[in-house]
Amino acid sequence: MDWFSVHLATRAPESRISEAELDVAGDRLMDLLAAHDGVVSAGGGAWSATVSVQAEQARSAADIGGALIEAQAAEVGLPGWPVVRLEAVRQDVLHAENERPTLPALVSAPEAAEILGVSAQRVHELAAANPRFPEAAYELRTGKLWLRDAVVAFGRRWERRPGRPRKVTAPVR
Amino acid sequence: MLSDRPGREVPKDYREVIAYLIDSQGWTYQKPRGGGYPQLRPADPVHPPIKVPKTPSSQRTFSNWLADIRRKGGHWPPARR
Repeated sequence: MDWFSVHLATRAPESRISEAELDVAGDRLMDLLAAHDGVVSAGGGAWSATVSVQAEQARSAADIGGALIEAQAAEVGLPGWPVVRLEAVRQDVLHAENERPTLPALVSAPEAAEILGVSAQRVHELAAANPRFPEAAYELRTGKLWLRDAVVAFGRRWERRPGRPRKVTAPVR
Repeated sequence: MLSDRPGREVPKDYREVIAYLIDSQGWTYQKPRGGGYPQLRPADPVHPPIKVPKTPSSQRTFSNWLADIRRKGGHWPPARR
């Protein structure tokens, strides 16, 4: 048997419970689920809870955890709103996911130049003229930002031609 | 809305995450009123506030809590530099 993290989320079709009542019921659900590593969020016409359960596989974990959350939620008076999400993740997999940053690493032209071993000006030329150069993830007033992994991947695939690169001419307006 | 700062009412490892979310991602934190639990409000108000355990808990609880933060648009751990 493995440990699984089971998350169940509900959303109100229409809210008939006050925010204060939802908050108090959420606190009581936190108390009840503490023995199951429970975490609760409640407010704004929605509530959700996460617990940890032991099961043979993710499907049965979702059934066990989902039933546990719904039973305890009913006991504290949380509304039986429609379940909009039910997911089970093996706890070690979730732990590994939590270790990875959610924000991707970004680079500006000077950093991209460092990765590719060229000048920052050459990066701008590549971005303008090489169709395989990655699209900028963000274009700010101060310049473009690229996903670091995309620039590294481009560097691996890039077939460099020796000699001075052809000049990129600006379109005539 | 002004945010409270997390103190001794929450375990240390939770405090570190909460402080980061307040300082860099526009989340707000509310200390418990009465006997309830502290709450962490996501920057995007479409997500409901997440309750914070008040006593040191298992690694699984911390993991479940972090996953809920990430599900509601919070970024943790801090991005690589």
